[in-house]
Amino acid sequence: MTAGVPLLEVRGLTKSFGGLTAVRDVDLTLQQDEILGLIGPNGAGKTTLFNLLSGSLPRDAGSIRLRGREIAGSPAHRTCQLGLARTFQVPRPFLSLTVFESVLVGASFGRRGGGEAPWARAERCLRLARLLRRRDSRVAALNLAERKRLDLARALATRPYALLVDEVAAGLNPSEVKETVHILRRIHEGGVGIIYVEHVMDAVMGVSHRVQVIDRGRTIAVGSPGEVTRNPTVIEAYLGGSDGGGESDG
Amino acid sequence: MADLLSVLVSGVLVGTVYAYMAYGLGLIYGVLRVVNLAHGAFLTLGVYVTWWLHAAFGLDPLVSLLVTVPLGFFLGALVERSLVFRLRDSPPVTTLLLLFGVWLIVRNVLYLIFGGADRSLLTDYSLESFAMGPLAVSLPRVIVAVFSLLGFLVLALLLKKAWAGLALRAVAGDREAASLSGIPVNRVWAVAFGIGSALAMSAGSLMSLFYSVTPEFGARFLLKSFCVVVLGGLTNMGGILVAGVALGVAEDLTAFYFHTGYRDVVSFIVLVLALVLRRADTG
Repeated sequence: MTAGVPLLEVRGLTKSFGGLTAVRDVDLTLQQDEILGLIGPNGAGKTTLFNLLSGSLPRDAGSIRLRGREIAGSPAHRTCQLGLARTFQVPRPFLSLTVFESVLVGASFGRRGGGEAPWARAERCLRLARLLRRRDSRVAALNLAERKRLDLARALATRPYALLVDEVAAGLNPSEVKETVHILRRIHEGGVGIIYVEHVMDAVMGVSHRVQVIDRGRTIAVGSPGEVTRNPTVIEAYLGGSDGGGESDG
Repeated sequence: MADLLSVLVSGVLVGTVYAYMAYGLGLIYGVLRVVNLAHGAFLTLGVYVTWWLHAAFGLDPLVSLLVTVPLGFFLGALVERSLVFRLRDSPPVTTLLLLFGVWLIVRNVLYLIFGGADRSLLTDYSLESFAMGPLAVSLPRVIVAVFSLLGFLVLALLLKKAWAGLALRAVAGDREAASLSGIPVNRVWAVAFGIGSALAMSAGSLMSLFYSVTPEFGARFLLKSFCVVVLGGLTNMGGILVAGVALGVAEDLTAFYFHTGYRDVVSFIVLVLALVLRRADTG
């Protein structure tokens, strides 16, 4: 890995649905060993941005470079195999699989290499997500907090360089939020860069090194959590628009 | 009493091949959310290929499995890649009609080539039976049941243990989450359609041992496949095995107590009952 090349570098990313431009000319840089918070009022385009980055949605314009390599235009499974994984705002577990099998899916089909057997990696990721004792449960039997941690474990098992985390704290109680944020930190300590979309401000401000604020599809501020919360444009966006208080991002 | 027992045994034996024949339909529905009406085409092709290999080269129907399994896989994957895949985002009824079209084409091509006459395939052991205590058990039925159970077992192991099975089950669970976990969903669809069609064609090979060969073969057994799959629970292998056996026994009992002419009515009645009783969880 060449020093100085960002882990993920996005330039001019744009996506319209009919007349509505959901993501407009967004630039974004995720450095090695960084957690970048991504916040904005409801409907700001954060989830669309994730869908573009992960290859679920085709972009209209822009480039996405992962470790210097252009990945825009790759289908979703290829993007994952190249080392960019994501979790879901509403976890999308494989209900008919067991907890272990779900994580094994990520470990078997994600980025190749690593010299570790898929089952061993799956177990390691389960342990990190504190789900090892539920290893053989049906996914359908898990509660929301466990499903969110399972989604993290599944995504981590694909051996990503960069992980897109979508509202992993939403809907959880404070102690569950704390535990989940702790797991995010552990994943980051393992050498994974993270972009973290979140409405739960304590969680995202506490864990992020930098924060990027998006409103109506554009970037309106980037900086440290402290700078961003004092930025008048950001305050205006949150007060002037919808409240953004932990609801889902449309 | 011995008669009744013979009927029950025979029903169980036929039921296993019913389960084997039907499973492909459930697998394809589970993974692709497509109702594969071309299942009837693959069943019919299976019996015809087997009959022709026997008539032309004297090939035993069990040996012709070596042809029908790979051929079914190839043709199924081809139908998926070339036709079904193009309609992946259209409403379900579109693919249903498309696959119905495939079946009509196959059926009519068979009429064109072989005519409508019933043919049958007779091997040295077709009429053999052996005594098990007081029961007379038909040898081909036992052979077919053993092959069906073996096929079922191999498939269950593949789905449970193998890498490919994990991919199939993940795509059946959530196609988007599967692709975001690195699974090439397009390829998994083709493989699932291939496996489902290989099952149907090889079921045709097995069934050629005791059913007559006609272009309408698929129509008769497509309905029974639906019946088994709906009753057993779409992709639930254990459920499908039980449902297949239940249908086989019910049919043979009906034939024994009433009239053989009523045999094929049983599956209709069971299908209607199953749909009414299970409609809540067929989505």
